[in-house]
Order: sequence, then structure tokens, then C-alpha cells
Amino acid sequence: MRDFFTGKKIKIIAAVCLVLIGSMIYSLSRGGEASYLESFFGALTTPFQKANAAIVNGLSDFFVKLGDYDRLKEENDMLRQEIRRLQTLESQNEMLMQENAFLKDSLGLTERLTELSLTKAKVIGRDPSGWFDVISVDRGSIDGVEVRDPVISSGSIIGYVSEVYLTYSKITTILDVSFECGALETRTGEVAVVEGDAKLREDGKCKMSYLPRETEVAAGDMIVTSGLGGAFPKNIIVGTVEEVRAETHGASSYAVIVPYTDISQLRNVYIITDFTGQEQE
Amino acid sequence: MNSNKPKASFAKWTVYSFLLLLMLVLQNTLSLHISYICLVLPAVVVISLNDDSDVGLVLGCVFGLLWDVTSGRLFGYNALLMLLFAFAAQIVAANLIRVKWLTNLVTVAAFAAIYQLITYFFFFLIWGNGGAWYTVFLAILHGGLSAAVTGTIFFIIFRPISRKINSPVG
Repeated sequence: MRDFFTGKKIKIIAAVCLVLIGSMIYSLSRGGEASYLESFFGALTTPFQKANAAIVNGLSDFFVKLGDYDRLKEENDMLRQEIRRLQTLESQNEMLMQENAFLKDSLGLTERLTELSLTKAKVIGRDPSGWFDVISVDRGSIDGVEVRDPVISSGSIIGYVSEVYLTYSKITTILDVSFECGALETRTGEVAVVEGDAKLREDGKCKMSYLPRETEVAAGDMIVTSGLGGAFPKNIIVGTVEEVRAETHGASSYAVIVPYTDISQLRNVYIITDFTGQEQE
Repeated sequence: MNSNKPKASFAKWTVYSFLLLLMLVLQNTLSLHISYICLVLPAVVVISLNDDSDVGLVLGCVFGLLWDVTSGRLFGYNALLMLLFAFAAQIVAANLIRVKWLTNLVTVAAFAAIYQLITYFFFFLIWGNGGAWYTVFLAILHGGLSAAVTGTIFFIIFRPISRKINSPVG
């Protein structure tokens, strides 16, 4: 065994280890911006991952369609009915909007709508360790993506861009323990923080922390982003409350949130590259 | 002097590189649909256990870096661990065990469990996100068991390749 710890080999391994530790420290100090080494290795693997993701997605879709024909047919009928209902609502909404605009005009009010600049991205990979909820997408700095850009899918918040490389980016999802976002409960107006939780993550859920002990938030309530701090646009759906629990210390409560979008089944996402009220660095 | 040796060596590096690239791409995309599945770690450990050259060390480091591209945390973390695991696997194979399918299975599962423990320690426990012991236990169990299964499959694939390529030729 002594041969392993003497000679040139162990010195080379020690030197490589030091370089890698240096790389980790450098990576930590850059706070999500890509180093040349990371971009180089990323450029090598991204084409393979894109191709493989396309193949795996295609196969997955095929088998899902094959096995779920009856369910899909039933869902299709339900959706047709839903479309008819929404068309009726739309026409009513149109009338209300006109009435609203007329009243606002009469009162001299102006409205500033939240405008979003979106970039569509395909999900091409996921961290396989099982510890972190980080996904990779096929859009990078050349597409105008920046660190901390919010990410949505089906109109609900998915996470934020945590690292940007030339041709791809990493997204930390709302299930990851490092995720934090200001949130609002729409019925009571209570403001708190949505964050990832190591235990809830297994079931695809997250939590809304720092609620008062006697909170009025209840199961079924809708949670949206509050927009406070400027990191996320306001009024983007996060999910619904499943249940409210007391924290172990007893001083506050937290709500278990079921995200509106199933994070484990993401295929495409939208990166918000700019929005009204975005924080400026 | 055997003129086929460089050719055999080139073939070995090419075959292992291709298989590891396949595992890397598969682990990143299969994790999207099926479950979190780690394929690079078992592959690197199996190569190091069954091949006494430094191919496991070098490819472990390179594919660890490629893994870091899609992993959730610091760039270089997986490369460092793959390098150290490959080195440790070489020592284990040379001094402590005789590599057979069962010892291969146990060693790969042990390295996978150690990987999970180290990750938990460095990225959760020391940052104040400790606890949830049941979750930690499940992660280690999941990592260890899946590595045991994939490690055994790799053993069946890599062992003949290693023997074929490393056997005296000409």
C-alpha cells in the first residue's frame, strides 16, 4: 500500500485536488457567473444533453399517450366544456374591462401594468444527486439570460436563474432549500416567505414560513408572489396551501404549499429577462 | 516490444470515455423523468476497481468536471470526489479485496453512501440546514442501493472489456 502514497502519482493527485478546491472557491466567489472553465465544459456537454433530452422526452410522451388514451379522451371532453365556460367568462370580462376603463378615465386614474420580457427555454438536465433541486436549460448569456432572472412555467413561478453560462443556465427551483421568495396569500393578504424545505421537497412541496402563530391562512388558499424586494414580479402564482402547521419552536406557523406546476415534470420554461419593478444591481 | 500496446491503450481510453459520456448524459436526463439516478460515480468506481491503470483516475476527474456542469453546487466538487474515490478504489482493489461481483457491489454501494454523506455534511449540515434525519437516511439508502444495482451492471459490462483490452496481445 505504501507505493500508493509515495512517488509521483500522489503528488500529481494532490496538485489536481488543490486546483479543484481552488476552482470551488473561485466558483463560490463569482456568485453564479460562469468561469471560462465552466463555460468550456458546459459547451462540450450541452449538445449531447439537448439531443438526449429530446429523445427521452419523445419516448416518454409516446408511452404516456399510449397508456393514457382513455384518461386523455375524458380530459379532452372536460377541457372542451371548460373552453366554452371560459369563452362566456371572456365576453363578460370584456364588458367589465370596458366599464372599468371608462370609470378610470372618468376619475383620471392611470394604471401601470406589469410587463414581462420572456425567453422560452427547454429543460435539458437535472442534478442527479437527489440533494439539490437544480435543473439545466438550453438558454445562456448569449440569449440575454442573467443571474437572478425569475423563471415561470404555465403562469406559475418555478424558480430563478442561479448560474449563467454562454449556452445554458442552471435554475434553482422553488423546492430547493436555498430558494426564498416574498409571497402573499390572496384571501387574507398575509405576507410571508416561500422557501424550499429538505423534507417537503421529497413530495414536491415547499413551505410558506414566518406566518403569525394565529394565522388565518387555511387549506385551499392561493399563494402568489408579493413582488417585494424586486427579485420576482408580483402576482405570479406559486401554488395552493395544503395545510397549516405550527413551527417546532411554537412562535410562528408555516403553510405547506403544493406548487401550481409539477416541478418534476417540467419540459419547457420561460425565463423572465426583464419586468416592471425588477431590482437593479 | 509489443506494437499493439498503444493501440489497445487507445481503444481502452476511447471505450471508457464513450461509456462514461453515455452515463453522464443518461443520468442528467433520466433524472428528469424517472428518479434521481447517479451513474457516473458507480462507473468510475467500477473502472478503478477492475482496471489497474490510471484510466479511472483521469476519466473520473474529467467526467466529474462534466458532471459539475449540471450539478447544483460548486464547480469542481464532483471532480474532486470522483478523483479521490477512483484513487481509493484502486487502493481497495490492490490491497484489501479481491474484486468479484459481490465485493464490487459492496464497494460501489459504500462509495455512493459516502458521497451522499459528504454532500449532506458540506451543503446542508454546516450551513444550518441539518436535521431531517429520515430524509438523509433515505437519500443514503437510495444512493447506496441504486449504485449497488448499477455498479453490478457496470461490472458485467466493464469487466470483460477491461480483460479483453488489457490481455496480452499479438
